[in-house]
Amino acid sequence: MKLETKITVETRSPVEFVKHFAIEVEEKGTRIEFESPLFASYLGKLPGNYVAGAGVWDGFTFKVPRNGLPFTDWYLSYSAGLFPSEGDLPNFIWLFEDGFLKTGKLSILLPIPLAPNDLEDYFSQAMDRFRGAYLNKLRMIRLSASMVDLAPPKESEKKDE
Amino acid sequence: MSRIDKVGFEIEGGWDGKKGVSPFSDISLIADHSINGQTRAGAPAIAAVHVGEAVSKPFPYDPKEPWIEWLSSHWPNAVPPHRTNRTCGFHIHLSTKSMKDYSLLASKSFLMELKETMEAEGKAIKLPKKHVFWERILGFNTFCPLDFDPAEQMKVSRKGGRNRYGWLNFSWTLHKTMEFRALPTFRDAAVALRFTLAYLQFVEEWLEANQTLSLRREASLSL
Repeated sequence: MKLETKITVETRSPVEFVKHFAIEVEEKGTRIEFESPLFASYLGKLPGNYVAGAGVWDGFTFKVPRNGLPFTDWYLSYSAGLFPSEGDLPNFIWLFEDGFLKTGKLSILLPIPLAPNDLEDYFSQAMDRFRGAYLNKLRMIRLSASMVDLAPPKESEKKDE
Repeated sequence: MSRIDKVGFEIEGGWDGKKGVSPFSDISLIADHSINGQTRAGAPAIAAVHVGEAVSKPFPYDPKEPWIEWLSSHWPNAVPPHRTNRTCGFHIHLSTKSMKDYSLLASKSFLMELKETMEAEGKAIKLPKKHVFWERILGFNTFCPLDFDPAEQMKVSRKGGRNRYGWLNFSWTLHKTMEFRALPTFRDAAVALRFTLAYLQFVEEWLEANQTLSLRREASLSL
């Protein structure tokens, strides 16, 4: 049996994908602030069982279908320029918690310092990617996906066909 | 209240004592092949009973007396020509109470101002021009070049590799410390202590003076 879900998010132009983004080194670590009501709205429309708010990098999946959803966890981490290499920087697992879905705002504290030149690099990379994502109008203006149940049909269903 | 949390020391050199028996009751010397005692550029070889590296435990920065006493009592004590040479380094590790302070120290302005301060200290006590101190503090020593790459150093998760052989080494992942590597093992403990106190005092004063430096980058996209 196939399940198909279409999710469409249409936005007016001008579009604000990321309303606010900040990185700051504080006394207890590096804080990342991220605000995207658009992205929260998009995530909120996904069926619940397709959003896994798991607490580990490898554990999160969107069960990406053939058409592809642009905003997988990997993509967003990539967008922010924060790569989870050698466990030094966690991923955006918090992004998919209820709080973000309701407010579109995220504030996380990573228990590490950043060298000033790293801070500049991460920030610049993130801004470049956010602008790149915005400029891809096909994605920003209409986001749609078909979620397909990839389980093979049962034998009885095959005979009926 | 101090901004430095803890300090630790690594001293390379030569010590007197009994062969096969550690010269200290609290630590054993660590073998260090970078100070193999071979003569370099006319410097005397280290001909001591024990040749290696004395590594302290981390001490709270305050009070100062315990680590000052440790430095004095563990300083290389072989006969003067043989207790140190130009291959021997004296490295000072420190950790900060605040991660923001650690990040501030990873700025080029800190490095350059520290270099100026150390040079002034060397001139104040009239270290001879040929003293190995100048070779190291000016960045001409292969084990402490004036390279500056704190971001990559902070990510190093295992020992080995040349990345850590900088004038400063930001050993965050391994030790949560910044390591100052530019000082030589001075012949006299009193001179080493003078430079240690000058260095740590500079760190405290520099951090205090630079708290308003911003480590925040932000933007709002509105297109």
